[in-house]
Order: sequence, then structure tokens, then C-alpha cells
Amino acid sequence: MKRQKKSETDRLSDLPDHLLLHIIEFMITKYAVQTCVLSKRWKNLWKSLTNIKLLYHFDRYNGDILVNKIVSHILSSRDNFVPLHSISYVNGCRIWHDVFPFKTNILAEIMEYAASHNVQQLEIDTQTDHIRNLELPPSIFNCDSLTSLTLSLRDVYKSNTKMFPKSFNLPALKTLKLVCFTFFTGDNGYAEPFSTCNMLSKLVIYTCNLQDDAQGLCISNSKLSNLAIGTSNSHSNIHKLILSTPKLTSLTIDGIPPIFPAPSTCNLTLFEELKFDCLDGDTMGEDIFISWLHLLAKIKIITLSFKILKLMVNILKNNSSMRAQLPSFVKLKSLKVEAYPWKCDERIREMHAHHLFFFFFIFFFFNVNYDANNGASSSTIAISSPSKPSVQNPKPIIKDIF
Amino acid sequence: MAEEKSQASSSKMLTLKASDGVLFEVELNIAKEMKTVQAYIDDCEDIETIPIPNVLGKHLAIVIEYIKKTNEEYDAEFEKQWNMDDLQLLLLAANYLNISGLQECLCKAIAKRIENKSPEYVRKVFNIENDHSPEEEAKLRKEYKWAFEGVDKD
Repeated sequence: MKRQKKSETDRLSDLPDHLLLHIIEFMITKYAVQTCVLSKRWKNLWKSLTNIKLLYHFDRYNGDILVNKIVSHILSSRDNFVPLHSISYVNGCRIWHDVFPFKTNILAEIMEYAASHNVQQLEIDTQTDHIRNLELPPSIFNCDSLTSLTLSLRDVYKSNTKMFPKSFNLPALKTLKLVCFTFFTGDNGYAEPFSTCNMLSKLVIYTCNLQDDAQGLCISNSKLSNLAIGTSNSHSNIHKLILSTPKLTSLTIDGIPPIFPAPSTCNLTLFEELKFDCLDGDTMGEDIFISWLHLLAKIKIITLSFKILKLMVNILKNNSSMRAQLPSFVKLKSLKVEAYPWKCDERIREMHAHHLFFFFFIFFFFNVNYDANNGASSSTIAISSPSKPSVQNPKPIIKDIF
Repeated sequence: MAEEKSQASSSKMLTLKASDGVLFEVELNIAKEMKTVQAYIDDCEDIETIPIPNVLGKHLAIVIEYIKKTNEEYDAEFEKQWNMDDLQLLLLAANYLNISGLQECLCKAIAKRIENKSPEYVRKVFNIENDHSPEEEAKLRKEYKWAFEGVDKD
């Protein structure tokens, strides 16, 4: 009777266990757990997963207790002897302010589990308004195995932040992303949180604050090569940024246009890329704007969101004295402008194009001088939007205006 | 002389022989992406034809093409052309030949196709024999009730 089955071989079972496991590693853990009912062979396979992915996207969040139970169940059912590489808890639910606050310690439970199981990558990204007295266990800030840590604990209604520990020990940490934290002020009057992270190469700080007595934020780190900093609300109190990061190559500003002046970059010999990913906010202080324009003039690779380009052009249009004192963009090798995917109808594109021509006019006015003195420089200009391929080098158009 | 030799080796061709006898002439640097083949070459330097006993000609052709063309765009479109049987056979080939990029691409593609589908559906697609007793299955479904909420009614 079994003979006739030979021609329809159990294909997925031809794959050895380690490949089956590799396949379900790509699923969120909830789906991977479902495979336990496929057959006896599959019953315990999911328990050997080395990456736990917990993703929630309900429309209306009312299942916090349920989520607690699910996460606890997963952590307790899995095979403790299988090393755990990563845990990711991303709760995309929108939690309304009429939800009765819970005292939930699922986040603390996840962090402690990660620390005690030598996890290498931990990501926690969730709204936290509904959590009363969220305490972050010290074990996660003193973990030898962590190479990547993302903590995004957002109080959306109360704009509260969590205190980032004054001292911590994460010797293997290479990537750190923090959202909604406040940094302690150090002895020198500045907040200088990251000087002890010897392996850190990428840092993202978003919507973070300083204590009231801080003069500014100092990023001081020997290995850091990539920094992104920004805020979504104009109440941020980071009014000064100091960079003591000799290996820095790239700086990204996102959220609203910067509310602090451009940091000094004279000691940053490897620094060559500046990105403005600003998608919100309509204003920038004049002095602050001038400082960033002077920094832009020294940069090799520039990326601008369309929004920030428009803002800059508007400021320049209304300010002839500023235009007269524009710096030369002598180092520019590549300029990329990123347009919005959803603003693609003809009329808006034309309007955008006018702004672009004006801006390019400024660039090329100074670039052409540089070319004449120093021979050809191969600068590339690209306009890209997710829905359209890049348009390279619209120089002929600029010459018409010029 | 040494220079000539190294220039020659970068365009040196190797022959791979699939399980059904089909022969493929590939450049050395393409063949080296298959760690299994690389190990073979390391062991016997003079070899010109390498047997690949576990992989059919048609799949070996696809694997070689993947190695030549792989990039983000290509990988995103790659898996859409193949049916489930081919995906699995390609995965076995990638595993045997030890090509980690292709293995990742295929595992991800298979996962996308079977995730959150009902167990009945997944069993039918892969001809998995359900050797759980009804009681065992019911017990598992109860224990992990939360995992089965919202499953595709396929």
C-alpha cells in the first residue's frame, strides 16, 4: 500500500531538519509554532529556533494580557539548550489613551531572558503609555554577548522618556538605536553617554532628551562610523551637539529640521557623507540654517529629502544677504535628492522642479568656478524617488538657466 | 611567466557534470561560489570535470545563472519563477553545493509561501503524512491556541 506513495514523495521531508528549521526561521514565531501540528517530525522543530520574532499589528489594542501570556509561553517552551541569537519584539499596535493602564512586566521579562541566554541581537519597539512603572532590568545593560540593541519605548501621549543608565557595560555592542530616552549629565556639564562602548560603529538617537542642567550632547567614541540623530517633536532640549568621533564617515539628521547648529567637524578626517532625511517640520532657525549650509559646503556626498531642500530654497529665496554670502561647495561629488513617493502628480512635480533648478543654480554657480580653477571634477547629481529610476546629471537644464 | 599563469587561471574554465549527465562549462570564479566545488578543487588541483551527483541538469543551470546574476533586484524576482517542487529541489542543490546566499533566498521564499496557511494546506502541498493521532493534534492546537488564530482559510 505504501508503494504507490513513492511517486509522490514527501518533498518537504526530503529536506533535512536543519533546512526545515532554516525555512521556519524566516517566519514570525507565531507562524513557526503552527508547524508543530504538521506531523510528529515537526512537533518540536520550532523549539530550536534561534531567532524569536514577535510582531503585533492589531488595529485596536486590547490584548496586553494575552500578549504577555503568548510571549511567556514561547520563552518557556523553547529548548533552553539551543543558543538564542536574537529576540525581536515589535508592537505596532496603536494604543489609545482610554486603555486602562496595566502593570505589565513582559518587556522586563524579555530583556532578562535575552541577557540570561546570551542573545546577540535584541530589538524592542513598542508604545509604552499603558505600562505603569516600566523598569528596565540592569542585566540588559551589562551583557557581554549583545552586538545589536534597539530600544524604542515610546510614550506617545505623555512624551515621557526613560532614563538611559549612567553606566553600563556592553563590550561587544556594534549597533545601538535608542528612541525616547533621557541622558544623564556628566561631570563636564555635557551628556556624554557612549564613550565606553569600544566596539560601537553605528548609533541612532531619536527623540531623546538631556537633563535640564546639560549644556549639550557630546558623542565621544573611538570607533563610531555612522551616526543618525533626530527628533519628531520640537520640544527636544538638545541644543548643542559635539562630535568627538575620529572614525565618523556619515551623519544623518532625521525627523524635523535640526534645532541645534551644525557640529564642528574639523577633527573628523574621514567624514564625507551628510544626509537630511527630514520629512516633518516647516521651519529652521536662521543661524542654525547658516551653520548647516556652511557644513554642507564641506561635504563630499549629500542626500537631501525633498522637504528639506524646499525649506532651504525658501529661506534663501527670501534672504538676499544670505544668498550673497553663500559658501562654495568645493568638495561636492554627489548630490541626491529624495522625492516623496506619494507626491507624484504632474503639477506638483513641476513645482518641485522649479525649486530644484533654483537650488542647482546655486550649486553650479559655485561648482563652475571650482571646475574652471581645478579642472574637471566628476560630480553626480541624482534625483530619486522610490517609484521612479534616478535621473542623473541634469546639467544641460541648469546651463539653460545660467 | 607567473603573471601569465594567474591571468589564465582567472578565465580558466571548469566542467560540472550534473546527475543526468548534462555538462556545464563555467568560469573558475563562478564555480568557486559553490563551496563544495571549491573544496573539490582544493583536494585535486588538476581536475577538469567535477561530478555533481545530487543535482539535475535543469537545476544546476538555474543555480549557475543565479550565481552570475545575483544582486538585490535579481534575488527579489528570482523565486517567483519556480513552483514549490523546483524551489525545494533548488534548495537541496544549494545546500549540497554549499551556496549560502542562494540557500537564504530559497528558504525565505518557501517560508513566505507556506506561512500562516492551514496545516491541511501545507500537508497537501508537500504530501506530508499526518502521523499525529487526532487526540495529539487537538492537544497541540489547544496548547498553542494563540498561534492558530487568524489562519488563512485556504
